[in-house]
Amino acid sequence: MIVSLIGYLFTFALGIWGVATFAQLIAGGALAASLDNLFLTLFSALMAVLSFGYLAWRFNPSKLGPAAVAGSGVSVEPYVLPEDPVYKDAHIPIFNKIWMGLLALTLIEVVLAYVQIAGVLVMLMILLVLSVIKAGMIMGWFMHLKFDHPIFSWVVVAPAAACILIMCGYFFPDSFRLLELGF
Amino acid sequence: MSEAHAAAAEPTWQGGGAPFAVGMKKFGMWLFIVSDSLTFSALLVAYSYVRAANDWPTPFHFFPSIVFASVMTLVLLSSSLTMVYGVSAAHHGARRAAVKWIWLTALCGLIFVALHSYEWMHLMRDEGMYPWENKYGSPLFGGTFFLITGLHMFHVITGIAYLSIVALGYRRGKWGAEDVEVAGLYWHFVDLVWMFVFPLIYLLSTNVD
Repeated sequence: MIVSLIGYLFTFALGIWGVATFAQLIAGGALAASLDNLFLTLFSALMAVLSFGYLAWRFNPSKLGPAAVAGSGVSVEPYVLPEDPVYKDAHIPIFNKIWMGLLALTLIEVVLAYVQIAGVLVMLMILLVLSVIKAGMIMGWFMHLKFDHPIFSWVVVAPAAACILIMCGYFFPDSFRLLELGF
Repeated sequence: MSEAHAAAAEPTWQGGGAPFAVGMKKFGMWLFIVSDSLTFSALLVAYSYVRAANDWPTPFHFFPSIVFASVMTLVLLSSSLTMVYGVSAAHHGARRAAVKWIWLTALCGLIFVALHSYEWMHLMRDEGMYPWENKYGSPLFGGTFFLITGLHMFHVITGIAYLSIVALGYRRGKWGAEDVEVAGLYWHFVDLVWMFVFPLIYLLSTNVD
């Protein structure tokens, strides 16, 4: 079973988008009344629920090792470390492709900064989402999370993602409210 | 990892078992990365807060600022790739090749620091932008810029020192492939942070006129 890191990052990216959009709705910004924003918020929420639902559905406690399921009535084989437990190597060409993908996304970001398709708040969100995708590619392949034990990516990514999302949820609504007050 | 094998036979509460199936060094580095990512995200969220709620200056011209920052991104991403090569070589036991790739990674880091220092010098000397004052408007602009890019540059310099020490120790046989991998994790994290600093700091303040 492989925990889908991609689903995770979709949740994170769309979560940031959703929080920011929701904040705009609360603040009564110029975009708030449009149907598109409501759609994006609902879409983000739906994607988050689907992703976590999928992960929960695929969750298999026997992969946690014997300690985690002690007393749960599930009988499992004790988890024994394989001979070389840490490093499962991937093929080098995939790293070259990831590198090229990261460069392409960077180029898109630079172009977007000059095309300026939207105001600063929407640009902030677009750049954040692109950056989160890039961060996911770095964590998944370069930092090897995709090839580690699945539970490990939960342990390290989930707390950080939760803390950052909560931080965004506190700060951005207040920031947009300040903007509306018009200092 | 014979110690881990021996430990796996002991009861869990006596230290046996490895539920995450990674070495302790790697796990420790990941915990550090999680805490450090919260440091950076707090700074970046605070920056985004003042960026969204203020009349924010957009002084960065295409040349040199955006070009330099883009080249720095290219250099840092490439250094991540060479680090991946180094870790892969180390795990395949190709010691000389691994050391070569690690030195190349550190060299890319040095290029990054050199370019960034030149960019800072340009901003201070030619544009009159300082951490405490600037001619564009909000004094927070210079403060957040120099704080966030400075903290990142501090991480890069630390990473260069770390990689150099690991390269020397690994060549002497003092450390193994796992230590190279852990150093690589730190280096990739520095790269990852720049993926947020570059668009938020530079691209949201480009001068499009």
